[in-house]
Amino acid sequence: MLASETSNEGRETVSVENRIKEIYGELLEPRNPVRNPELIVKKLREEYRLLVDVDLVRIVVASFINGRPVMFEGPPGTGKTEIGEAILTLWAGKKAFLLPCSENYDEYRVIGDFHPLMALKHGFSEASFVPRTLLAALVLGAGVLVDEIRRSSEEFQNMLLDIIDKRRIVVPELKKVFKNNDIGFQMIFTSNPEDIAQNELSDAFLRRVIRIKFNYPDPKKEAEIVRLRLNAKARLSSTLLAMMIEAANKLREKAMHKPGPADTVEWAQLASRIAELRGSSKVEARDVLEAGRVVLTKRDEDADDVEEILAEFFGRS
Amino acid sequence: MQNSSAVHRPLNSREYSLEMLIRLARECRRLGLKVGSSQIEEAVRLYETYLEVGGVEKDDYRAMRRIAEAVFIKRRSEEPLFEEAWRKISPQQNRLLSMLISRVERNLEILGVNYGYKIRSKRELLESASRGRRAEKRRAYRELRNMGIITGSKHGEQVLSRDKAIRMLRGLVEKKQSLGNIMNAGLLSRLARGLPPSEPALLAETHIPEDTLRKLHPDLLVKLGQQALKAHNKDLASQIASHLRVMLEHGRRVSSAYSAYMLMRAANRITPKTALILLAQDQRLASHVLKDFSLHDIRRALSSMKPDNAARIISRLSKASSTHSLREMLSSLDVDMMGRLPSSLASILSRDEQALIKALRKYYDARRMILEYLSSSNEAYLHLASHEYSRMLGILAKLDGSLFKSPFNAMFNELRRRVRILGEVLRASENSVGSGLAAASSMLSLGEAIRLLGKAYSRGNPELRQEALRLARRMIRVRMSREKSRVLRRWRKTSFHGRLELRDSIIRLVRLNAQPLIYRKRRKGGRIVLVLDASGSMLEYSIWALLVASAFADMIKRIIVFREYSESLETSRLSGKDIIDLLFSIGFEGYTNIAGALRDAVRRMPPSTLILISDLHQTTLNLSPYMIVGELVRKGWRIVAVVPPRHDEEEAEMLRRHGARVEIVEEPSMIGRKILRAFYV
Repeated sequence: MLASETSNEGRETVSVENRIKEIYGELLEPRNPVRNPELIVKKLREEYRLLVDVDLVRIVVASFINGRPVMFEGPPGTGKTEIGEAILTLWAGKKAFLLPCSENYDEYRVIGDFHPLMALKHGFSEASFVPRTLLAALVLGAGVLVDEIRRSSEEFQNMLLDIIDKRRIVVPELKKVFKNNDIGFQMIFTSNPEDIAQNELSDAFLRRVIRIKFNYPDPKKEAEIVRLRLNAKARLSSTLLAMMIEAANKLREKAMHKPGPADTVEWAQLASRIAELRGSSKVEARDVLEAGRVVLTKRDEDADDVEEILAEFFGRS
Repeated sequence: MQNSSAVHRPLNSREYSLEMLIRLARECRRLGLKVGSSQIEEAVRLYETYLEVGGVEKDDYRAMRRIAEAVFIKRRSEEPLFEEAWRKISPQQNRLLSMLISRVERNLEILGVNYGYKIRSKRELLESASRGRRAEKRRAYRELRNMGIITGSKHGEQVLSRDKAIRMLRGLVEKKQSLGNIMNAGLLSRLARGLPPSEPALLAETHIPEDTLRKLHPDLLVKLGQQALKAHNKDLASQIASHLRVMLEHGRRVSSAYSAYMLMRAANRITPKTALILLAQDQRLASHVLKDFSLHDIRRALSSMKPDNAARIISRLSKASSTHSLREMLSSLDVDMMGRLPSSLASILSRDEQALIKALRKYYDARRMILEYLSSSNEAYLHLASHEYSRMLGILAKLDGSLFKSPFNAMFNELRRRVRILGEVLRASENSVGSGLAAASSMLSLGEAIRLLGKAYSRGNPELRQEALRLARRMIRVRMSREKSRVLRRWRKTSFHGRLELRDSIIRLVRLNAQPLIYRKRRKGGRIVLVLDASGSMLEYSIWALLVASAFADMIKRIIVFREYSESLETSRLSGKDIIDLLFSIGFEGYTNIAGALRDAVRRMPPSTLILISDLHQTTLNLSPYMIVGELVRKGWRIVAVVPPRHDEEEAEMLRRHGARVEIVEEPSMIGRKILRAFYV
C-alpha cells in the first residue's frame, strides 16, 4: 500500500498512507508501548500524575486484547478523558487522537473528505483526498479517544463500532480499503449519563462496548489525588484538605454542578496560589474559602448552596 | 446449582467461571436485566484475559464482578438489579468454604488418608521416616482433630465422610461469615471458658495471622500466651510473646506486667529493653531483671532511654539489688546522665559520693549559665555562672583524694577535667564574649558548638555576629579537611582501564607477577539528595553528614536542611562557608517537619538516592514521613534513613515496610561509613 502511484500526467502523487504519515506523523511522539497493567498504573502515576486502580487498567487491557472498545462512564471531573487518553497513549506507544464529539459529526469529518478544488482537477482520487483523524489513527496504529460519545448521532456511533470491529475503513470513492491489524489502534469512549443535554445511547451500541463505571473516589483516595496533582509552594494541611473534600462531597449531593476531583484539585491549587500571593507559606481557611467561592460556583443557582456549605466548613470571612 | 457441587470443582477452571457467570446472568434475567449469551461468552473471555494479563492464577471474584458489571450493565438504571443478582450468588461464602475444604484435603493428603478413614493406630498414622515429615503429620492431625474432621468415639478415631465434613464446615462458615471471625470467635470463646488454646475450633495452628493478633488487646495476648505455654504449644507462645514485645516497645501497656514478663521469659523473647519497660510498671520484677540480665545489658538499655525514665528504673532497681552492684552500675553511667538523676538515689551513696553528685549538678548549672551568657550577652548569667562555679570548686576541693577507693573515682576525675575546661571558658568569657565563644566552641561537641554560635549569631550585635560566623566557619573548615582525608578512597583497583596505579604496578613488576599492571578506576557514585534534620538531638549527626558530604560534593545534587521549614542548597561544591550559611539560615528552634522536607527534597528531581538523617520524630501535624517515603519509593527513589539509637521506632518500622532502608548509627562521627555505603551501593 505504501507504493506511490503515477497519475495520468505522469506526475507522482503520494499515496494516502504516506500523506497521513506526513501530516500526522509529527503528532505521534513515538515511545515504547506499555502493555503490562501494573506498569501502566505506574506510568500513569509517575508521568501523568493520575491515580488509577490496577483492576480498571486490567479490564481495559483485557478488552483491548479481545478487540473490544471501552466506554468510561461517570460524572464529570472524575478523570475519564485524561485517563483514557493516557492509557491509549501508553498502550500504542503513540500519542492518542482525540475526537471531541458533536451532533453533526459524520464519516467525512473523521475519516476524510475530498478537497473541492482538487477534486475538480483530479477527480475523486488519492490526490484530492484529505485524510482525517480516525483514518490516520487506523493507518498509524494509534489509539482514539472519542470524548462525550452521547453528543454524537447514532449512525456515527455505529460507524465507529463497525470500524473497530473489523479494523478496516472503506472509502468507496477511492475504491480502496484501509486495513491495519496493529493492536495499537483502539478506542475508548467517554460518556456522562448525568448530562441532560445529550442523547441516549442505543442498546446495540451499548452491547458492543465494555462499560467501565467511574465514580467519585473515597475521601482518602481523593486526598491522595489532590496531593499528587497539587503543584504549589504553600503548604496545605491534611486537616484542611480533608475538610475541603468533605465539603465537596456535600456539594455533590446538593448542587446542580457537582464538583469532581478535578475541581477539588483546582480548588486546592487556587487556595495555595492565593496563600502564596499573600506571602504566606501555609494555606489558611480564608484562602480556601476565597478559592472555593470561585471554583465551586459554576451556576448561579448553586451560589447559595456553595456559600452555605463553605460557611459551614470554613466559617464566614 | 448447589454450593457443594461448586466447591468440588478445581476453582481455576474455565468451566467454573463460566458456571458462575451463567448463574449470574440467569439471576440478572430473572430480575429483569437482559443479558444475552454472547454477553456471557464475552464476559468469560474478558475474565480469562484479565487473569492472564494480571498473572493471577486463582479466581478473583472482585474482578469477575467488575467484568460482569462492565459487560452486563448497559445503563445506570440497571445497576441496582445487577447488585441484587450478585448478592444472591455471592461467592464470598463459597470461597471461604472452599478454602477450608482445600485445607482439610491438604491435611488428609499429608496424612495419606481419605474421607471416612478409620484410624486403627494413631502411632502408625503419624509414623514417618523423616523428622520434618513427622512434625508435619502431627500438625495436620492436630488441625483436623481440632476442626472436628477427625472425631473420636469408643471404637477409636475416624475421619468424617466427605458429605458430613462439608456440612459441618458450611454450618461454621454460614454462622461466622469470615475466617477472621471464625478465628477470633473460637479464640475468645475458648479463652472466656478457660479452655486451653489447643482446643479451639480452628486454632490448631501453631501460628496465628498477624492481623488477628494485632486486633487483640495486650492483656488478652498475655492470657493466650500463658494458655499456649500450659498446652505445651511453644511455637504459638513464642509468636505471641514476640508480638507482645513489639506492642510493649511501642508504648502499649499491660495490666499485669509480672505475667507478661514471665510469659516472655518462658518463651525466651524478653529483651533488656522490654524488661525495663515492664519493671517501670511493677516493682516485683526488679530482682528478676537483675537475675536475668547482666549489668552491662541493663546499662545499655538504660542509655537508650530518656533520663527521667532511666532514673525511675534505677531507683526501682536500687531497692532490689545490693548496694554494691547498684553503685557499680551508677558509677559507670554517663556523666551527663548522672547529673540528671534524682536525688532520691542518694541513700545508697556515701557522703562523699553524694557530694560528688551535688558537684556534678553545680557543674551542669554553671555550664548552662555560661552558654546562656555567650548566646544572649546578658551579664547576669555570667555572674550566676561564676557563683555556681566557685561553689562547685569548693565541693571538689573537699572531695580531693577521698574518693580514691570508690567506684566513682573515674567519674570524679572526668568531672575535674571538665571543670578545668569550664574554668578556661569562664575566664575567657569574662574577658570578652568573642573569646568566650572561641573557648566554649572547643569545649562543646560539634553540634552544640554550632548551635551556640548560631544563637549568638542570631541575637548578637554586628561585631559578635561576625565573630560567631568566623568561628563557625573555621571550625567546619578544620573538621572538613580532617574528614576529607579520612573518608574512603574514591577509586578502586582494576586490572584494566583507568589510570595506572604506579606504586602497586611496580611492586608487582618486581615480584614478577603475571599481570603486573594495575589501574585505578573511579568508583561510580549515584546522584544523591541529602535531607538533614537540624533539630536539637540531630544537629550533630547532620553536621557530620555535611562534613562527609563535602568530600563528595560533585555527586550531591541537592542538600536540604530542615526544622519546621527547610532550606535547600543546589550544589556541585560544598565549602565550609556554604555549610555554615545553610545551618545558620535554618534557625535552631521550632517544630520538626520531616514530611515537608521530603517533599521539598524531591521537587523537580528525577528519582535517585535520597539520604534522610533524622530521628524520625515529627512534631508538626503533617502527613507521616512514611506515607511520603512510600510514594517516593513507588516513583523509583532509593531511600536510606540514617537514624540515631534513640529514634521513633514505630516510624522506622513503617519506613522499612514502605521500602526504605533504615540504618542505625551509634555515634555522630560514625555517620560517614553509613553515608558512604549509600553512595556506592
